[in-house]
Amino acid sequence: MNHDDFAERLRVAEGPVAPDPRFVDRLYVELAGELGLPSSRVRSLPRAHTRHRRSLALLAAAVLLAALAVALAIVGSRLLQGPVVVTGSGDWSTFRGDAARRGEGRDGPVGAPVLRWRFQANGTVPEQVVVFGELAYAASDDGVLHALDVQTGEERWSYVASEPPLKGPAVDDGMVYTFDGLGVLHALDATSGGERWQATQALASPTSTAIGDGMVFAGTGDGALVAFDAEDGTERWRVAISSTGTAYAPAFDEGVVFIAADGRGYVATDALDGTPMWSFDIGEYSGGTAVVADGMVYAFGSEPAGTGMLWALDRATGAERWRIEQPIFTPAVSSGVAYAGSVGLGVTAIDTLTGEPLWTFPTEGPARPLAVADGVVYVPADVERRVYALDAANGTELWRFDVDAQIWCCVAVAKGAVYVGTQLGGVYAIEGRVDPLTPTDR
Amino acid sequence: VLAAERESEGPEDFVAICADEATFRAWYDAALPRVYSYLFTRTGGDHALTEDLTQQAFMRAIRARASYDRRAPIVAWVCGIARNLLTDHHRQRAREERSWLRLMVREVEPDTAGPVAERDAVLATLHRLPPLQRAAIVLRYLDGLSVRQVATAIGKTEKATESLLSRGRDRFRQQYDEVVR
Repeated sequence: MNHDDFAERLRVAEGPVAPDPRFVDRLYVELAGELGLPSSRVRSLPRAHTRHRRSLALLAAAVLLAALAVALAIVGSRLLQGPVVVTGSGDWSTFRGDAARRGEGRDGPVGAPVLRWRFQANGTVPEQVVVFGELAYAASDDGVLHALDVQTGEERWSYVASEPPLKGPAVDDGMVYTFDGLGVLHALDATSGGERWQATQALASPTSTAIGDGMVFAGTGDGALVAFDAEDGTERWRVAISSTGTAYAPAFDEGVVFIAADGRGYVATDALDGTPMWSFDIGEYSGGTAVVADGMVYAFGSEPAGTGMLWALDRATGAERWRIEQPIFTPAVSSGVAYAGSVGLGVTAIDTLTGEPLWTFPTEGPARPLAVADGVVYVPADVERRVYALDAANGTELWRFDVDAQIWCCVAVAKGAVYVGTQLGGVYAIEGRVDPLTPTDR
Repeated sequence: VLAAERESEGPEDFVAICADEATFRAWYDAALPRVYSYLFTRTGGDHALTEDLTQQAFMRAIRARASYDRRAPIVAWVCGIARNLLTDHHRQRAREERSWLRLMVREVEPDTAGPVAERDAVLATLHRLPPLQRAAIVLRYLDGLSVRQVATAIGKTEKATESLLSRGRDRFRQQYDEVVR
């Protein structure tokens, strides 16, 4: 199909559309006010704005849908004879779930944990397993990226780096982005694994990437923040965040990149060109992964002696809202509560408004970057070789699932399962199973 | 409104239009549906987004009324502002920092509307495209911009824009088939 044919096909969608009369009047009043004109000819002033009415309508629809879902769930559970396996459609496309690193999934397991599948890689899986569409992507430190069927664990394709290990990966719009051992960024076709492009210049010790506004952002070991064009790998811009220390994994949220670098603290930069907007000094502390959620940026600082700090900063200005003087990592955030792991303090749930701890859950050794989905917190307990599921409301253990070795990174929650990689190369998909009600329950 | 402009002795004086209530209301009543329709197609049939962008476009237009340069009908100028807002929306970037492109836009002709079902399918398909692909596709194929102009508008290289368009076309075909299935 040539240019004209395609354009012709699209133009079918052209044509007049009548705006809502209430919107017409509302906007007229606003414009007349701006111009200092009287607005005597307004036909009918709405009592409520369109958006408000739409919100109410959506709320009503949501309530109805929720009621319908509950009804269907009850009826369905009574009708089904076999185990109920719940699956869904959420993705977990990058380190800590999304570019803002919120750590919030939409579709975790429901019921008791069972192994959906386990894949064996030939090297440690030290990084985030990401899930997008029908595939889970796991990089093992022998330089192989495995694309696994989320339902069966079958390997659909693999990509072997010329220089291991691979850093990342992250998936966006049909492409997988990953750094090789030399620090060169590669873009692969997410469906086939075919290489689409590779960057022409290597970065020194690049971090996990964040993707947004058509760019791929990464920090470097020499304190820089670099932006690549996601379509062709062209370097769009590069700024020195720190001249003396390493930079950590950036977060992207609505046109702004947030990143920490030793010797500088946390910095917000314009995604367009890297122009700094604000910075927050964390003194002699080392930084960590920035997390952006609900108008706040979470910043972590640690010292070799084992002390540390978690700050909550105003997203727009970088002003401190509150701090907790404990060595706890930047959190996963959902519904006004931040859930943070730590090296030795287990899991802490924190009220994001006040910074007050709500509950704690102990683990032996580090609780790695965790995930929260649908009222459940999933905790990768490194040396315990185990994933915990906790009730987000009070920290009560719902279940635990043992894996074969230490968990060096984090969990992903998507498509009705929890995914985790281990030191011995195990990649696990843990799903939920709900036993059907027996006839006597009727 | 275009006819009124053409019948006038010279290019419209937008500052004068904005100074008189009756004149402004007449212009507004004629211009609003055209800008709204322009955006409605290009947002993939998203009424809420169309309202937001229409509101911003008109507000910006009247605030910048002194800078209207009379090279195009006022409504086409407002559509140009709307297009920049839409492109910026897709790029999710700070709108105030960007200079607006002053490109002529295709006028919406009432007789170009296709069959309702097909139109809805195209709108739904456009709505399913990722933001940047949608921006590139509508600028290239609905507004008839060159690849270089599209690249400038969305802040990409020409090579990257060609790639976006190619993938956008592929995705459009694939999604369209799913929409009508």
